[in-house]
Amino acid sequence: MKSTTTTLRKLLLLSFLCICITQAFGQSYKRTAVLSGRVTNLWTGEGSFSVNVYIKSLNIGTTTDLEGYYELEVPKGTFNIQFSRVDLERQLKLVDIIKDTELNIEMKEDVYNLDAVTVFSEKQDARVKSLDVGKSSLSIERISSLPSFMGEADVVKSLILLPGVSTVGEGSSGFNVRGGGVDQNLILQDGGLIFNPSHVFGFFSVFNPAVVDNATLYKSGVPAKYGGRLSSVLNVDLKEGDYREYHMNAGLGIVSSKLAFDGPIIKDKLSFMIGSRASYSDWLLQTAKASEFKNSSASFFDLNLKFSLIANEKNKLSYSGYYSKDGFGFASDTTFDWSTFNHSLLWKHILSDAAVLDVSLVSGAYSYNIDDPKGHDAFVISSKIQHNTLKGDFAYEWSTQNKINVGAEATLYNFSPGERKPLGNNSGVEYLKLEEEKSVETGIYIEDDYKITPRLSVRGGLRFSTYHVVGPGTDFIFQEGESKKMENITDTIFHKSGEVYKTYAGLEPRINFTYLIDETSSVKASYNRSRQYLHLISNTASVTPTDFWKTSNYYIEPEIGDQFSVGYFRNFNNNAVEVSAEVYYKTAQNIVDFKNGSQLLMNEYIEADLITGTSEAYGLELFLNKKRGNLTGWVGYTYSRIFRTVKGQYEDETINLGNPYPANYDKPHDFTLAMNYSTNPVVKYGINFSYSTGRPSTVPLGVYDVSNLTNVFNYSLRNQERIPDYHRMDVSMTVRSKPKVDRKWKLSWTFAIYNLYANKNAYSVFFENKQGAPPSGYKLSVLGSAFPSITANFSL
Amino acid sequence: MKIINTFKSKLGSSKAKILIAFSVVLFGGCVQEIDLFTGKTSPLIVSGHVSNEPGPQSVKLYYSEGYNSRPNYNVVSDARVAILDDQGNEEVLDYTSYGVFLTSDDFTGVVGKSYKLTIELETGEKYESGFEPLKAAPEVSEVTYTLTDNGNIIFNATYTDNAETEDYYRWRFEGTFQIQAPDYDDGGSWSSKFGFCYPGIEPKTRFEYCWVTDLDNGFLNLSSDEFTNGQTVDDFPVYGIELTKAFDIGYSGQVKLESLSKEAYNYWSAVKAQLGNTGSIFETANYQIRGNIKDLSDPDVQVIGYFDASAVSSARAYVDEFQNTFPPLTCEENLNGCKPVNCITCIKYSANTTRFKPEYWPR
Repeated sequence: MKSTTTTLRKLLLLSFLCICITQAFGQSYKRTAVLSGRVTNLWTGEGSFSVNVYIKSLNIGTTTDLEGYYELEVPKGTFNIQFSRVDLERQLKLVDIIKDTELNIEMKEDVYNLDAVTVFSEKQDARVKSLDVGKSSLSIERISSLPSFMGEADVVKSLILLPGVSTVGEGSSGFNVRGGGVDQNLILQDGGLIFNPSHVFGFFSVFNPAVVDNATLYKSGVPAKYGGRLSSVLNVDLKEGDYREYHMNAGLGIVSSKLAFDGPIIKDKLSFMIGSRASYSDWLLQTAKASEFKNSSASFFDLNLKFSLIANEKNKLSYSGYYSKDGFGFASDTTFDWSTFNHSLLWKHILSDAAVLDVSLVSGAYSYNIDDPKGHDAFVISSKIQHNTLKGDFAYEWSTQNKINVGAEATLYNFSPGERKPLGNNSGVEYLKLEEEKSVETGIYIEDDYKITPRLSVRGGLRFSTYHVVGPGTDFIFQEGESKKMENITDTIFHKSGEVYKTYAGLEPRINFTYLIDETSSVKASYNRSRQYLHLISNTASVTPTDFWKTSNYYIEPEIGDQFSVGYFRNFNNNAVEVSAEVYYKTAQNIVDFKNGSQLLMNEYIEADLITGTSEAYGLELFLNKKRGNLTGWVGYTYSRIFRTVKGQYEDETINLGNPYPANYDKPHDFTLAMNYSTNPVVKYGINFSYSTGRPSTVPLGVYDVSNLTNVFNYSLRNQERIPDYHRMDVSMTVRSKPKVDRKWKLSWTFAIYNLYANKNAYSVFFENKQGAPPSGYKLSVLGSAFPSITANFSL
Repeated sequence: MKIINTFKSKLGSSKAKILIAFSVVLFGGCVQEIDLFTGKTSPLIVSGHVSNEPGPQSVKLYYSEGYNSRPNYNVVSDARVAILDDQGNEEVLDYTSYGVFLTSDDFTGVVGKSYKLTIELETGEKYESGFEPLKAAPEVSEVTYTLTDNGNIIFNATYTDNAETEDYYRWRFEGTFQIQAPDYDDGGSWSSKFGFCYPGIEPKTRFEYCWVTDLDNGFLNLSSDEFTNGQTVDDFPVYGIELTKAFDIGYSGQVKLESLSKEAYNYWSAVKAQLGNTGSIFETANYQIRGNIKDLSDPDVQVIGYFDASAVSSARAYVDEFQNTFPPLTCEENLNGCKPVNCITCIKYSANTTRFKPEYWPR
């Protein structure tokens, strides 16, 4: 405790010093400087005319003259300067302007000129005018500027600050979008499927901020090319290596370090990018006083590798590889580890000026192990999902008013839900292997973006997906007129290898409308249907290592979700301020839940313990975002509810008497604020605040004595009470090295305090019933105090 | 099945510990005792049972409040409580005390009949259980005991399951042992030189003997004939007790087998599973267990407890092989000159102690 206070004091002193320095520094400024230079064609070396030179944060710009020269008077500071022309590949340069500066740029033809779903291509007024509804994009710059836990910029933690996105608390993996479960998000990193988006039980996400280019989240209006999950799509694109220069980026934090390196292998032809993170949090555990923690360990490691090849003007190939591993051991007792291994091969082929074909081949595996090497019941449990996807997307632009996308994909899944082996000769644990599950999921889609009138645009899409369960496999037949229970199994049907023994298929219509009321405001509406064939089997609110994925089968039908959403969008002050209000209504069928009292892990008759029901969610999201000026950031408020109804034919297949009950991540009120303040390029302040209603929990309402038993808990119906409300404030200060145009390297320090006022937020409440003693209730707070951190970032 | 259970609890607790340890060590996380959902009055609690053992049969009605300390129990004294059989006979129970209503002494359950409980509170609320069949219980033919490596005595029962029926059992246990007060005849020991140590205690005979009966508080052992239908089950382990000084003179363990309906078995199984849960976030989630008693005006209203009907069969094993293997009672005088009361008289050993030798006692 003493050391924390000391650290805190030092940090405050340091930040005070920094404020003084930067203010003194600021006084010597002349107010403006001239940025000038020439834009030339990379291939010909000739000047490029009519190139837009634009500073987004100032909303000022100019165009190059016939020889490619430009000049722009700007206030001193650090700015992202954007160079663009419709047929050239857009470039973004971060420049520290403290005096008159010359910046020369080489640009090449943009062969990929169709609308890509990226953040940076978004125009200032995209939020009002684009066809996307319920889409949130964050650039890595934005993500990095938010105060973060342990000073580590984090994609998922940043998304959680947006309206409609929430999590059940610190130390929980995954996130919930508009009342969807953690398993209802399609998470892609360079096209590779991510099943567990977290490191160390969710304290960090699996995306290395040093290699992330941008992250896009669709909460509704999901394009037809995505399928397989009900609630959202999170698409994370990684940076491509530079084709001309080498760059290095390193970050040193108190718990982990990150490193990224990129550059050309063959100039203008082939580039590489490598990024890695590793934790060294073990030393923190080793400093613990209690001996039982001393042998504990927590670690994570991840590695990204990307090669990009411009084969010729018509073809581009890239490979993106990802490996991540997590380990957690407790006092050399039980250890958990989980890992993800993904390979993506992407081919982009330009057929004509108006037609592009993307083909990707993705292969991946997610696996976890639980080891308990001690005692007479030493065991190891392992589980694995392997998946291979082939996907093709074709885009064609009929005219500027009409664009069409068609595509198809197929994924082969191989699930090994669990294998339990005894460890050592003395172990009495029985060997058990749950049946492997093979399946094929396919999808074809067609989508058209059409501008009906200058004011009204529509995007209509239709996806058709199928799911085939492939043998060998087993189906249990339960006695008719009885509930699904292990003891009611009357027959077992075995299916041969290769036999398709269950097929599901269905249409998924998607439609978005955008109506421009005037130049600065619009109304958008969308309807979306999705089908989900994979289900996360869990009786906890967040992803834990013991949760496992299950494919649809004879008894578990695909989840089908429908969402309607309507939003009003308006920009003020020349697009500097965005406001929006969105409402949504969602229903879902065949949501998988578990029977009361069921044991889910390593259960051979899991179908007997799973039940399905419906869910209904609705909400209102208000958002105000200031994009330019000294003060930037957003304020969001969400009111949302999510209820499930499970009303089976039999009493044990019914939850809460068949009445709707809140899902365990139902948090009606959610308020977030994320702000940055900066008056000069050297120092930037950040503040986050979030408040949300405590999540529902099933709790004992009292105790009773019955028969010869005393102190028996009487629990509430499922999720009928709530844990205390959650609120937290974080602050950060980033100090950058004094900018110099001729200096290549950059250094920045980030000082942050997470949970500034040390609120002991409840992660969960639990109850212990000790024989012969009065029962007690406890609250577990994952963060018990303010958590200061320092991170150094260096780039070259 | 047994292996899976131990395995599950081991895993559950260590997982919870991990998150706690991790958050405590790395992030200054903490576990605090809370006082969240207290102060609520429970629904009506019914503890009622009818058996074929000699009457009277009893039903207890009460409410409880809170749980963080020993809750307040508010008993119901004014109600019409009756047990109905499936032939239309009604036995009205009389209120005695502490919320307990009793049948007449000669009322016993009969195998083959079904029984249901009806309750009408003074306030007019009516409650009713479903009809519970009183099923036959097989005879416990033998009780044996075994000593385990870690010093526990396990009492086992042998019985033959009825092949014609689907059977569900609940096991009960009652242990009776003999004790002795060694120093009763030491003239000054019940009144010390400084005053009177134990008012009201009078010596009876030299080497006073008593018999103590220990009840199976908190014990819940259930079984079914799912895998043993119609078989003779040998040495089914019923109850384990630590080998202590209770075995010094002689110990008689009585194993009771009570028949249950399938619904009653499911109810008690659920209670048993939850008693073993520590309720941590990674364990099987706890839930509201519903019994067979319904509020007639609103079936969604919870009534705690289960009214069940059982036939009972029992048998005993007598254990005397550990005689005189324990050190004698230490009977040192304390500062006031008093010796431990158990040295003076054995009747003060516990509330369930008698000086009358039970009829089944072998010697």
